Amino acid sequence: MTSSSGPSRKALSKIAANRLQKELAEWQVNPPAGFKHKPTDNLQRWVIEVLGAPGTLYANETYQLQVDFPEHYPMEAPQVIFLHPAPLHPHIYSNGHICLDILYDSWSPAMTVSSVCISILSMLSSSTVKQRPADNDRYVKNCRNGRSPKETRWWFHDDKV
Amino acid sequence: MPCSHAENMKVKILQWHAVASWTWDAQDETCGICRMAFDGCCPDCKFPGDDCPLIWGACNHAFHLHCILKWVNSQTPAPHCPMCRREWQFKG
Amino acid sequence: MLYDPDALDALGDEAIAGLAESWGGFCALTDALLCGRGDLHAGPELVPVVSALCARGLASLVRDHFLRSLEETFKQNAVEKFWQHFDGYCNASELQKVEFHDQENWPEEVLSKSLEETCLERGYQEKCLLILAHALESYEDSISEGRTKAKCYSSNLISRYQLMVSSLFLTTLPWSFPEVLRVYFKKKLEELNSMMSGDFIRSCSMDIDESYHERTFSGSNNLVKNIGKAVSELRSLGFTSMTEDAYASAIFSLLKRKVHDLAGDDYRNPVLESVKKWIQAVPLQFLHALLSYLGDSLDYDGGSSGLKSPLASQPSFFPGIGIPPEALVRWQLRLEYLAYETLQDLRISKLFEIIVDYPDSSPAIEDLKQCLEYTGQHSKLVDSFISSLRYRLLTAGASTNDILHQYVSTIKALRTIDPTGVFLEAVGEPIRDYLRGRKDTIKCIVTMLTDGSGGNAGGSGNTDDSLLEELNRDAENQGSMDYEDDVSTDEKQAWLNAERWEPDPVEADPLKGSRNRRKIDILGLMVSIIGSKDQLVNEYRVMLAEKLLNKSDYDIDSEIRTLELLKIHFGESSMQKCEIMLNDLIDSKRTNANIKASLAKPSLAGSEQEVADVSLGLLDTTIISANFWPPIQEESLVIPGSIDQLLSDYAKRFHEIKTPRKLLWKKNLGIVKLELQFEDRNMQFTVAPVHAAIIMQFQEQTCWTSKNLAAAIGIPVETLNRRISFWISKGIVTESGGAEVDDHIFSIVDNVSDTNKNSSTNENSEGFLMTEEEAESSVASVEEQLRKEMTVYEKFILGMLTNFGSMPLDRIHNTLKMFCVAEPSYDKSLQQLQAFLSGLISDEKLEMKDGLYYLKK
Repeated sequence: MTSSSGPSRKALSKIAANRLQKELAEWQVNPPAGFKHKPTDNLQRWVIEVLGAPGTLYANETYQLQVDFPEHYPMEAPQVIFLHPAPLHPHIYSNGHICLDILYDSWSPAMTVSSVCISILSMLSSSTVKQRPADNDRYVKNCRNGRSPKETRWWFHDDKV
Repeated sequence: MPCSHAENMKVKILQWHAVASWTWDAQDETCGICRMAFDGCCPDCKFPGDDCPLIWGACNHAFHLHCILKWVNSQTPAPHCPMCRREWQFKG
Repeated sequence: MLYDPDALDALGDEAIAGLAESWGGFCALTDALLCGRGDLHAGPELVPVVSALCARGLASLVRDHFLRSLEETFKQNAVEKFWQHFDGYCNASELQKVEFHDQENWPEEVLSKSLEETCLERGYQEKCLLILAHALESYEDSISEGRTKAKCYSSNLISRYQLMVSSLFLTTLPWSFPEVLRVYFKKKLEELNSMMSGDFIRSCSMDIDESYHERTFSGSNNLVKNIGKAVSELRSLGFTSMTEDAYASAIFSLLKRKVHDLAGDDYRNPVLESVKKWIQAVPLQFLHALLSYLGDSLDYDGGSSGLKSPLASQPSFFPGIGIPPEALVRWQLRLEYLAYETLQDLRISKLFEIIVDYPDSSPAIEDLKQCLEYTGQHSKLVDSFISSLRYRLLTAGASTNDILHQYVSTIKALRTIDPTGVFLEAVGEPIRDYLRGRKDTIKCIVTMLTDGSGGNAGGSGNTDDSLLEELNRDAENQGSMDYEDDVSTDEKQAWLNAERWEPDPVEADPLKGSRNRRKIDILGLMVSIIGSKDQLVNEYRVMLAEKLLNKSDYDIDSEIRTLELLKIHFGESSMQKCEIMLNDLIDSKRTNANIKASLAKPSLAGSEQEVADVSLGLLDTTIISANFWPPIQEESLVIPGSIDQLLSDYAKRFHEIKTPRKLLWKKNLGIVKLELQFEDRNMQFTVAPVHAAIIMQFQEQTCWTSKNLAAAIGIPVETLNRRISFWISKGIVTESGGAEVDDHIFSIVDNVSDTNKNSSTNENSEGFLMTEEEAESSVASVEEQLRKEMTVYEKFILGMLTNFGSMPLDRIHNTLKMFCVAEPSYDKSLQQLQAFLSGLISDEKLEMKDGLYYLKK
């Protein structure tokens, strides 16, 4: 809980690089609806624009996701956070950290950036109220020295929201 | 010209050199872990086929052997199938 | 006329009368002397008259009058006569002049005659002048005791006289006289040359006949003496520099001709050394003899001279002369430079032919290299060669193969001349540009790289090696040499200075200055034509696939060797797919053996009743890893039941052995060897499965409509009509009737021997192979692949145009490059993109206006 290191920035393994290239190619041919990949030459960090789905609380709002990939992706989950300003949502902290199980314990190597994005959008879309998590201030204070959300031991909020 | 059976010509095959491709008898085309084609090979291998075999789980999901082994070995205490999250067991 | 009016004023009448008498006497004596025609009696009488006049201070008047009289006389007696000898020539038309040139003794005869006359006159006049000088001197002697000034008279007067003579000639010179001199020297030098060159050739052949040598030597000695005499006479008349110009130009033109004679159109022998030897043997001998005859300053202290040229420091060989005088060394340098330049120009003008002839023409290339090092005129070569390339090679008439072979020869030849490669870049660029516009370039390059014909088409020696192997051997040989030392920085700089083009294209940067670059990587230059090595590798892959699937007799070991060589140049990962393809072939052989062994027993035991005309023994299978092969052309085909049964047995066994892998047949692919058995004879053929399927249908029924036959073997009627032409061309099947594609009637030729008498295929098993055109491609061509690969980007391009409205080609290209970085990353060239976009336009998906692409509304 007190570790202060950021996400490990070791270079991608061959497997990870290979798979990410494939994912990016697939994304370009067939991007998930409501998302835009902002092109960079950095395969290891993607920045993705999210457009709130029409008919939801976040309609016409855009946010930015930052996805960092670990050396051994996809055996390890990517680190996914919202860049400032993060959407107001009961599972999203003001520092951008997202409380979503598939990003942590429930990660599976069969998931992709695309599927993660869709999960996050569906989490946003199903929200009925725009507010921060109850423990937002405490959590954000704890994370102040740049801790990764992956080092948090999450207990997951109910799945209804 | 009328079609007759005038003369009998016979064809004797001396050699037939055929061409086929092989494929894994699997439901999916690509490995869910490395996203490479099953009929290709995992990123660690040079040659497909015998050198980079597929393996099925009890849940009937197939992966490159090398890919699933990496996943299984990284999971403590009990590994699950990347596709269906059921506990992973090699199909006997 | 009066030089000292004051002195005259001071004279009394008597004195004036005496003076007038003395003057009158002097004038009369002068006339008598000059017109005396050799009569010098008047000489002594001159002394008192001159003394008298001098005593009156009229010495200068005396001198001037005498000289003027000489001038008048000389003009009449000598100059006019002299020119009269040449009037005929000088007034002649150009055509008539040629007739003069053709006369054997012209102008030698007339020149020597006129020179003799004139010099006689001049000699006489000089004697007269000396008499006057003597008279003046004796007056001086009488008035002054010291004899200090005395001697000045004669030399002073002589030099004034000489000046007068030469100005007389030069002011009256007809403009074609220099031509007369040139012709004279030309003829004389040619005479000398033919005299000496016999000697020259003899001494070269190391067979010196002493007496012959003696004879030619004395003969040439006389000749040189004659020429020397003429030269010195011409000089005495004031034609010094005109004479020098004339013999210099005669020597130069002879030298040029000699170079042309020696070099000619023969590129297979070095000529530079012979030219140099000839310079020593003929013109320098001549000049030496001439200079010695004229007694010119042959200063022998060559060592102390500040002007030490690199050539002068070499031990020059002047037979019988010893250390060369400096004037001669200067001549040698001039002549050698001219020889280098002439040979260089000659070789440059024929460089195209020389390179066609490479490597047999390497002596000519070596010569050219030396010439250029000496003259530094590299840019001449570049300009001339590029223009001959444009004119001779880069034309629609030349085949891509020829252009490529010439390009390779150019590379090889020019890296001899210019190891730095600067020149090659300039010359290669137009070739590369041109080749980029040709559709079959890549294919030709790959064929040239991998086929046995190598880089030297029809050349000598190792014709079995591919260009690739040759390159590799080169690389190994060169590897042991130290390139940094091989090319001095100065030399490289000289090249850079000599050339005007931009030194290096940006794309060449990464290798710049490295050892690789120094080696002049032929393969790299080939790749740079294509644009990317991926395209080349892809084309190779398609050709390899074609070969592996359609030839039963390929040499897999040589393919493996080629692949290994390509790996060295292109990297292992680029060649991975090709490696898997070859590996498939090796695996297939093993699997074949396994399956045949495992199936042999049951078939023997179980189905003995079946006539053994189709057994597993005659089936071989190539099992491919389809993901790594180029897209395979799949066509439906119903093959004969017995064979189909074999295939499914085989596949079943494969599945058992390799479970959970299974086989998917590509029934239209493969090679079938079959024998057609007629009553009177058998014929063997090697064909594609579709041909086998067609002909086997004729066993049951000798006559088919195209519609029914197509249905029986499960292919479209059009395909059938196309494919059956193989059998028609062999005289096995005839076609009749039917305007519609459906109702052609094909029937087996019942009496083949009638139609096929001319062909020598009787019962023996001479196989008929399909020719290239008949064998249809089993692999998608690179163009088809490109279309397929580009489709990935189609959506992206349409998306871009939706966002931006309209975009020019290069912007689309750059955007794709920026966005599509992942596998398959966008690696197409601008031309490829353009071709693809044109396809989209004809598909009516896009339209183009003013260089901008729009979505079609």
